[in-house]
Amino acid sequence: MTRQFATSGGFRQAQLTNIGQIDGSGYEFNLRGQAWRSARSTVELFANAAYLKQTLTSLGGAPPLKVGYARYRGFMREGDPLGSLYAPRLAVPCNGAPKKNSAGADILCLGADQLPIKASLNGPALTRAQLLQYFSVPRDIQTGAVQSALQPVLADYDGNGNVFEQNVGDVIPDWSGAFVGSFNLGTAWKFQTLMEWRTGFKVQNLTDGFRGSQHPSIGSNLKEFDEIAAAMENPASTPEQRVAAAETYIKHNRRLLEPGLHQAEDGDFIRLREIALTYNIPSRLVSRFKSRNASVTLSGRNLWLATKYSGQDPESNENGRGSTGSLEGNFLVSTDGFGLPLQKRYSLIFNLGF
Amino acid sequence: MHTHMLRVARRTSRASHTLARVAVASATVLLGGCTLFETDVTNPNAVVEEALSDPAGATTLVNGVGASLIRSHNQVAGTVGASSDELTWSGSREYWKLLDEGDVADPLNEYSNGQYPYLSETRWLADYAVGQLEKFDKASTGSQLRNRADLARLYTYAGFIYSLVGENYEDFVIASDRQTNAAPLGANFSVVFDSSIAYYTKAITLARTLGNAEWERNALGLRARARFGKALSGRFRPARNPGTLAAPYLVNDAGASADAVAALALMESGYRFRLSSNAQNNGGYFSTGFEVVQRLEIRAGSEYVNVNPAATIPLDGLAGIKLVDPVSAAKDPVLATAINDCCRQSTGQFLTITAASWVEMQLILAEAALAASNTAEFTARINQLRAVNGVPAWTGAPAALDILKHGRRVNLFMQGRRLVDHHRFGVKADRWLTNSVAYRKACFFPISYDERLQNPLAPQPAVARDAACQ
Repeated sequence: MTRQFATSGGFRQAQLTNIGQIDGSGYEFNLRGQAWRSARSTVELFANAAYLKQTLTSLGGAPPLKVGYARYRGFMREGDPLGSLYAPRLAVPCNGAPKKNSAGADILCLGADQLPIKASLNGPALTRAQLLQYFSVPRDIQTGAVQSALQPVLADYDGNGNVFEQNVGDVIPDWSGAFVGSFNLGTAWKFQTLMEWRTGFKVQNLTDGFRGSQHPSIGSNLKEFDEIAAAMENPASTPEQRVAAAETYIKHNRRLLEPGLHQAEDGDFIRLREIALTYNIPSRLVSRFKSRNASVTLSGRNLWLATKYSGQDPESNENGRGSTGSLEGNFLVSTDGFGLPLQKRYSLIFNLGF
Repeated sequence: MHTHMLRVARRTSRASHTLARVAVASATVLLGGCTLFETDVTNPNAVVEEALSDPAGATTLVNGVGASLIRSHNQVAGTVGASSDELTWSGSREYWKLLDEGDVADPLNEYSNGQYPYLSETRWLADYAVGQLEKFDKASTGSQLRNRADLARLYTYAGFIYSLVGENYEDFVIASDRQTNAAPLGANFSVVFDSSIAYYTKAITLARTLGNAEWERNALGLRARARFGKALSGRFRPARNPGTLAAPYLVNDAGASADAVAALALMESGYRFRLSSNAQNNGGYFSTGFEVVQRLEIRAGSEYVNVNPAATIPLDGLAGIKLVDPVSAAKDPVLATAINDCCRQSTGQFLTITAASWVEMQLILAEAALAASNTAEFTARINQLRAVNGVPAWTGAPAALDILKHGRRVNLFMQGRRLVDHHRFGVKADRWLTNSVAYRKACFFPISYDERLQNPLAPQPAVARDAACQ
């Protein structure tokens, strides 16, 4: 893979290096059956599920490799699944004694009256009363002063001492598969469907990270953000409403300033990849055109999608826009960064065989 | 496949034998053709390291260092400009905004992070090239350096990249070599200025030997700048608490002053040693000229220019200039020239940067005089400068410190100096947030995030800000 050595060594370009080892294992299950059969019709079904586990077992002593630029949070670290993401995570209410991380330290958590908001880099979590005081006057969240007065309280869940890089999952699906159905009616009609599904992976939603953020030009163009900003700066709103807006902002719309915060989402989906209806034209009609066979097919691709992913498409990938020969080309996947969603596509096909 | 085809051929008829022979021949040709795809070949367009051992390539090598230096400086001018009041964010990129608001210490900032590899490349390449050219210079007849002025030019470039690092970084890694990592300088950071001064000294000595006044005056001017920078750097490291920043800090360095006097003796009035970018060396993680006049991400600062409401560029001519000369109260003509050079669409995206100049030598000497309470010399130096600038003589108003600060502000505009002047004069940039690190502490750019990721000897974790600059 291409490895970027420290540029203080004099070279900016990544070097193609055989530096490590990836171990992979998996299972694949296929089930095929004929659900119905008669003299004139058949129904055939096929289901597939594949599990894949890939672990980066060695980087040959090299430090972790970063995949993509700072806002893309992919890393290649020894012992991690391929495509692991590291991003900040907000502190949550304590609900009792603080939990311990893997280093044996208390994981920072919030007291009953605290919100995950602090006023400075190393400051404590603010209480609701302190925030009400701050929001006794309207505030413009698009100004740097307000953004730096409302910073997220982050916690070290992994025990790595780095609150900005906590493991939040990986971008390569654990499971993927398909359902295929085929229905034949006589020799004339054939109806086929293909559904694909993937689960157990994250998508980096940077598109909405920008759009729903406080950024005054390329951000702040989603309704949810406008409602937050409006509540904070409206002189007619109450301090309580402004604090509620600030809480929503920190928990959902605080983006870009701490790269990766709120960016990784579950990408599980099932999609109707293809559906097609074919009519084979009877030979008596075909022969008039001196053809051996002919058919008409009406098909559609990507007509239906079920997912909890909030972005435009869990299959969207930034890398489709650029080169694929680099580390990013191999491992920058499931990165929704201003790429295009998959289009619905309809086809009407005439086949004539001679 | 080859063997299989033979086996088939033996079992078949004569006609098939013929067919098999054709197949065998084809397979042989195909297998032979596989050598076409061997990767162990010599690319005639690739420059291999051995080629750099040929003295005939010395000039090209030095030109390469120069191009790399210009790329680095071009970017530093942008990040320092954005971090100071010289430039203001006017576009869409968040990290320009954060620099503009005084967040200079974030290793993740994509612009300070992005420029770091370019400065590192220039530093390494300069050291490497010096090694090569010094070898040529000492070689016996036949493999000698053909133009020794190239070496003087190279020493000057090498000195410049080191001082550029010293002027603008908190810390840096200079001992890494190719794939071998080294630790940051840390408490020994001032060694970058020592390296810079040592290179300039070599340049001056060689230029004098060659009778080359051009590179002698350039290196002298830059050595004065490096000594001045070293004195300033010592001021801010390691103490950075706000209390020490309240009082202006004036440099009175005997070495810098001596070099400035010597440089002035060789410089015509108004002389400037300039580095010009062009299509070949304008690239980098970003190009400051492109960001200012093409992409319109950053523009000249609001204290300097009147912005065209319909765009992010200044109004044409003097109408676009806001900053006035404190003596004449007229729009400052020096700044107007500087704005023409950097910040108008008619300027184009190829930024030209002044590395050393007659006016800077006067400023160094004026500041030393002011620090020594030598009013007569201060007045003389300032007024020589102002005469060349075409502005009225200074007669005591505004205060001496203010006229010095103004002189530096307009004469060194967009030369990567303003951030340190903010810090030492206690002047806050107009866009700095009060809780920003630049507002509170005299901090500069950190070792970049990418360097930290790739070099375990650099500060960890990679994303963390240096303790002194939080």
